[in-house]
Amino acid sequence: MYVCGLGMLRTLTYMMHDIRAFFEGDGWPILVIAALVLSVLFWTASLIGIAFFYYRDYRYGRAYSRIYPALRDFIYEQVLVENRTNHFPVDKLGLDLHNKLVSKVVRHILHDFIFTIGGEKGRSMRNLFNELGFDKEAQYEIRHSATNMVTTVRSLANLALMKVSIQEKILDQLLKSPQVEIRVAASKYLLQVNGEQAFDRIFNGLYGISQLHALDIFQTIVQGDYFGDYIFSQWLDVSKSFEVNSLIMDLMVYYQELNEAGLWELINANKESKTALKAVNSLGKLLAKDSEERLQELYTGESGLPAKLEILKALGRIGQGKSIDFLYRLFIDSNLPLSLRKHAYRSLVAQKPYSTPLLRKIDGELDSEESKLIRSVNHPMVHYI
Amino acid sequence: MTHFISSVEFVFGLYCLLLLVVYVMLFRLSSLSIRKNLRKRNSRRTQTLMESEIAPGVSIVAPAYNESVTIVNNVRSLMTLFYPRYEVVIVNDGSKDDTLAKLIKEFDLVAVDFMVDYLVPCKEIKAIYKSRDISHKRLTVVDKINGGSKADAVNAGINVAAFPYILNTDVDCVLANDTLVYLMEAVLDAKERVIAVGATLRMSNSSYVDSGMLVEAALPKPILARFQEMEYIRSYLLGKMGWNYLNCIPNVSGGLGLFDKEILIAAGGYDPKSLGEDMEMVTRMCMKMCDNNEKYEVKYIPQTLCWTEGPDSLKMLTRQRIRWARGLMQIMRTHRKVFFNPSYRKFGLIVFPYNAIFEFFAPIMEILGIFFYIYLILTNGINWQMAILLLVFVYMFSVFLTSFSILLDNYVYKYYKRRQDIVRLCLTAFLEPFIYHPIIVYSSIKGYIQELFGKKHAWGEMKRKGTLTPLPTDGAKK
Repeated sequence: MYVCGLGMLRTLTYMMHDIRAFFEGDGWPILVIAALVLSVLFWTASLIGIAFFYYRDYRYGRAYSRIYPALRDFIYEQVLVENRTNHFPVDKLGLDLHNKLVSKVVRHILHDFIFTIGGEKGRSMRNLFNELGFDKEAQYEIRHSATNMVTTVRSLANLALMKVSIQEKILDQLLKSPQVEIRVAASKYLLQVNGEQAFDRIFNGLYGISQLHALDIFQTIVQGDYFGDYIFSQWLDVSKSFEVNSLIMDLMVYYQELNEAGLWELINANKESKTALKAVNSLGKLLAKDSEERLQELYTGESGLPAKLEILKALGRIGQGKSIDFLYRLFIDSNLPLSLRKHAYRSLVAQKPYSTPLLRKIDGELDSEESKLIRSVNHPMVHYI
Repeated sequence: MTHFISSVEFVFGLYCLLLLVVYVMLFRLSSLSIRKNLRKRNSRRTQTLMESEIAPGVSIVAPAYNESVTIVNNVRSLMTLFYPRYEVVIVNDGSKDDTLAKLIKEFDLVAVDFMVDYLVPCKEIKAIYKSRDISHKRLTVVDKINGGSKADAVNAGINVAAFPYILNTDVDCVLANDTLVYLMEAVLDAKERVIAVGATLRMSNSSYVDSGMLVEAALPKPILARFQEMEYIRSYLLGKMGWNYLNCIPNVSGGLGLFDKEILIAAGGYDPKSLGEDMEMVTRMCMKMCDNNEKYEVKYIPQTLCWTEGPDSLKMLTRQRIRWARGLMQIMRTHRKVFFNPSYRKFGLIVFPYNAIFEFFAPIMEILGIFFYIYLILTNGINWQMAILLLVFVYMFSVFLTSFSILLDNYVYKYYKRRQDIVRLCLTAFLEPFIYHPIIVYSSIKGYIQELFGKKHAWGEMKRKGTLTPLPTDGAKK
């Protein structure tokens, strides 16, 4: 052991000696020359890269200008004039869709048309998209590029557009993907293809999403054909993230599904959290009339300004007249922050006719500052949140 | 003496080596950061946020001081952005020209009762105007007493703003139509609370515009503006995108920055006395988050969303850079407690020390280096072969970094439609070290000296020329 250690120490000493000798000799110039050569090489590579991007765009532009007129005329003729819904004579187009560039350009052009033309013609366009073989391409890409996020997401969006079903096993894998973008894309696919039947499956496995994903899912649901009476609030859970609970609350508000108990559970779990603020906001938007007194109690116990503001706004929206004295007391308290007094008055105004006597009383007791505040709140051109 | 010279050589050598390491690191990190951003971007539709009914609201705050030439077109441009919930707050900072009169006439404005809650300090707001025309309902014009700085005007805008996010921009900036969508995507897609987001800025000199909207980006014709365009591309795509990967961004530009209003107000708003108000604001916001022990992110996105009119005269450029240098020095001095302070986490341990060592000290080291070089030449103590090799290497490395930034820029989006623009930009990289860089170093040193001796800063006025070029007819463009 001792001999081994001594040997290593000796090797290390030799190495250090060599390095020192290297730098005392021609070491520095060699290093600088190597760095210089590398810089020149990288610079050349950068220029080649720039040229490559320009060439790629040039090729795309050339292909686009060649394909677009043919495809546009074909769509006008077949879809808009002849009202064909399927069995399109795609051979007439003479496009080599095995060529990646051609396929990409056709896909982009068709996407533009599909998003512009709605209704029955839109459905015909989707059939054309399908008949050009993009369903097979997308299915293939999902099976073979499961780790490539951009390709998988794009393919799922295309399949959803064509309303083409994919194997249950593959879909299950995608819904359990470690990449959140793929999970969200698969959820959106399910929503677009299966509609409300997919709700249970999606809300059951929703986790790790961002606010943007939540917004995306919300948008997919509300833009779909769903008008039913699904109970979204069953998925509210204090242990879930803000994003998931926020999505569910947004859906509850959109479909006016009131579940006061569920929302109060979120508020009581953590009164200062973003989730609680959103729950208070939702109570107001859902006109939760049984919550009016509880909200006043919550205000008294709250400390943060954002929470207090949300409570005042909610009271104004609910507007059952039970909180007018409470709001009046807040408005006349000149020690409170201006924003609180402003919202207290706004909520009082929203509770007309219950609050009319109090508003008259306020009008009679105004000082100049309060008068300005009231004029500001009442001005039809002044908007505040 | 020999020992002293060796020590000085060692200090310069170590400094250069560290700088080289930082640049190589940024070269790698910026590539990763941009790739990640583009992958995410390509996996979603821009329309999602554009069409959303639940998108968070944004208040665009744009101060205007003597902007009569361009104000109407610029406000129109701000009002045509693609986003479902936003308002435009124009702050007329006591203009001496007819800026306010033009706004009143063009947008049919009328003074309204508005109770201003002075949450952040600013000079008195004289009046608030809203439009009688329903199509301009997004617009609010604030008329205030001149506060002598942009910071004061922005603070007035913040006091009036209704929405939870503030987009701070200059009224002469031309924004891309989807600016708010891109910036808000960055906010909503983050794991932690995003307190500020920035994007790439470019020069609008020589770009083609129509009614205040950018039709085609073009490389600026004036050489100084062209140098700045190149500098911006490098600084944003290589520098800020690199730091973005580590969540270590020191600054969000005053030309275009989206801020969380709650934190902005909690941090006290912009400091009217600071000459680097944008960086100072971000510094205080980061400090506030660290003091509250809250996690946060400051983000940058690589897309160019803002085109601003850059100074195209030497006098204007040096004045701007002197102000920036003084601002940086003020921040280093005012917030010195942040240095290597572990309670400020990455901000205290990486962002601030980096700024001090490699941003603040860089011009000083360059000047000292030149003096040392001259001394060595005079005393015949120079190894010419090595010195020339090093110079060529540094020159080539600088050209490579600029070319690489241009490559990244093309990777994000091909902004210049004309090929000769990109060739010219690449060639400009060869001239920069001889023409532009010395001007910047000179201005920085002058700024430090002025700040050191407490010289009063004259803000001056940047004369708006409206250099944005209207789109020519096809024949003329050719």
